[in-house]
Amino acid sequence: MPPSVSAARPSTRLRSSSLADLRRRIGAIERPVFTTAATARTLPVGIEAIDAHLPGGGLPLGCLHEIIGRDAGAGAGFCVALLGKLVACRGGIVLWCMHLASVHEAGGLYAPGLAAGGLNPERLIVVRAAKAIDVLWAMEEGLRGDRLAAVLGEVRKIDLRASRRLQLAAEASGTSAFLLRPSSAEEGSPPTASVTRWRLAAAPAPVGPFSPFDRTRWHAELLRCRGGRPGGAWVLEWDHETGDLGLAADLCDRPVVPSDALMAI
Amino acid sequence: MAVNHAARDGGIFPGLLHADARALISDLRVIDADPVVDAKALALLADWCGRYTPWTAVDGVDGLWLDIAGCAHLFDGEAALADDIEERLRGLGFAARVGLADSPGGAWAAARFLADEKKLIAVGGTRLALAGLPSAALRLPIDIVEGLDRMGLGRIDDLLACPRAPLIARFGLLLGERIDRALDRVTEPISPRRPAPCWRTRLGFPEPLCRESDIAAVVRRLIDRLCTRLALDQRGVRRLELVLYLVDGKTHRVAVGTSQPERDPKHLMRLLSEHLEAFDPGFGVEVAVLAAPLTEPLGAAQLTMAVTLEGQGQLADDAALAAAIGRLVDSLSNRLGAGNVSRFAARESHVPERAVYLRPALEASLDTGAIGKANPQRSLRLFSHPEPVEAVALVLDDPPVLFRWRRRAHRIVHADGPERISPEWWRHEKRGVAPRDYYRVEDSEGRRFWLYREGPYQPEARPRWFLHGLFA
Repeated sequence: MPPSVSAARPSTRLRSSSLADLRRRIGAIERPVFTTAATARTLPVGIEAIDAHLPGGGLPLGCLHEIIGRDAGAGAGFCVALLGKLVACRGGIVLWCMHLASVHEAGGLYAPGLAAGGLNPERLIVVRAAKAIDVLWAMEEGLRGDRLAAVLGEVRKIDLRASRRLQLAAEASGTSAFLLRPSSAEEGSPPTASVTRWRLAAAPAPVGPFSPFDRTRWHAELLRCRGGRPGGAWVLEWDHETGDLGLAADLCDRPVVPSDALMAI
Repeated sequence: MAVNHAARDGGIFPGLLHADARALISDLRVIDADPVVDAKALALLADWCGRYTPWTAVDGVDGLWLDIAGCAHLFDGEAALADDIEERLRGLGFAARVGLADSPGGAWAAARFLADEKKLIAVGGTRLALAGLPSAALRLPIDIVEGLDRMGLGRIDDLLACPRAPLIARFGLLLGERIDRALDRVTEPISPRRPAPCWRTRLGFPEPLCRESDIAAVVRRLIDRLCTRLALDQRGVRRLELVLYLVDGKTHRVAVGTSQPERDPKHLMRLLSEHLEAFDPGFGVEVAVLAAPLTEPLGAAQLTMAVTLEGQGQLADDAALAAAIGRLVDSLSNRLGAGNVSRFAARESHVPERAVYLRPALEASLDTGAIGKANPQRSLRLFSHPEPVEAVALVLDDPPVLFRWRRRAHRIVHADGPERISPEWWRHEKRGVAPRDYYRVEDSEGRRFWLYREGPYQPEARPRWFLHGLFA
């Protein structure tokens, strides 16, 4: 600990103010710009613990987000929940681009399940491509011009250059882009230019009086977040009845009610 | 069965035996005839003649029909057109004779039997021009021609002088029909090889174009011209076809389709330029023809593009957005194939894989109606072919406790079901398919699967289990 910090208070204030100033200046240079309220368009996830980690209090729109699914269903389910929220806020159509390899691996999309996951299947255009390069091309086409709500692509391999192109296209048009990748993509893959990076895995359902299939649980980790605080891990719960995404809360014992209160009733 | 001029001068004609021909000319070159290849070449030539008129057809083994009604003015007159065809065909290596008349029969006779100066028969002059020709000029079979020769009716004017009824009684109706067709008393329909669109623009160049930028500029000009003509008639393009005629006789065809009637030159240019990227002009492009085989009415108000009109609010936004999404679907479909860009559509069925299907987005309108309410009993992802798994169930009607899929074992902790889905007995081809008992299962790590057992319990057979889908 340098001696000057404990000695003089004005220099501490000076340092913290200059730190804040430095942060602001770096934020202004960085792309995308997060600091000014006018340019920060975000989608609040609806969970305070997660929104605190994200810049601007929500998932930034008009950027590239990457979701790595350790289990095929978990990654897709989280994406569907996010897209459902996005479409509910802004309306519009979503483009879902699938590689044929991912169709063989995890199956195609099924409309009633999509609706149960929170996304109206009428708002989806599904594109299937035989080659990964065609999937990326389709994503770029969708990001051109402000006509779609979001674009999602299921790819296994993507390099820094291609992801940078997608990020620039998303910024230029203001349409959000999502990349859904299988877990095998994590090891040994080059870094990508995404603004946030999530890892999703399935979590066991809670034991309790309710049917375990009423709710779906995922382990979510925020691996990377530009402009925010990465490194959070949560257990998310999706409720089919209400269509809400929330933090999983286990049932616990109620506090003991004092006996005189009971007598009053 | 053809000879060239030199051989004909030496006395050889089609039908002569090889040995006799060799006797006449010792160093004769003989090539085997290949009718299939010849037919293909003739078809290609008919396509190449599309640069003159869209109405072309193949005639027999050595002829072409071209209907040039309304096209002659583009070439400064019929005579110039005929000369142009002959010259270009000669340049391609064919010895060609061109005949022009009011009727196909007259033109056939003119091409094969008239001397050079009189090949182009003026309007109404068919009878006079054909008068001196032999009867074979009427496209009659060889036995009728011989019969007419024997009767002394070797020339057409002799034939025309005779009363019709006895001739037909002797030789049949074909004779009368051919005479009428040749003299244009009865129209003879010629089916074109390709349907002739009524929206068509054409550009010919004095020098062949080789550069990509030049060809792109030409295509853009053609599109602009076509769009201005369509705007006058308030129509939009649904299918567009570009044909490029190359110097060496080849043609290159590019076809694109759109989901909504389009009249925006920029969008159509983008759709076409994708296909032109990989095009190799070879020795050059001589003629470019742009045609719209399918058009639909398109009012002027729908061309609002990306402009949102103030005060009109939601309606204008929706129309502009729908048009923009239609263009996106067009460019995706044209590159990836119309079957690969799709939207969900519902079917009246309770069988999971049939209840919902993917319909090409080019066909579907944006509002498809009720696609299926949320059903948490259905998985998020569905395999189009259910994957067989090995499952172990303690009691036969119970869900399994353990199953193995893709060489991984999953121990089941929670299960829900069964939901019995029977096949549709009213679909005849599905009789004999067993009903399925579906279970929602969750394994020890929280992954959820949609399994089914096929068929009711049978004491002697092992039950077959399949994985149909994955839950979120």
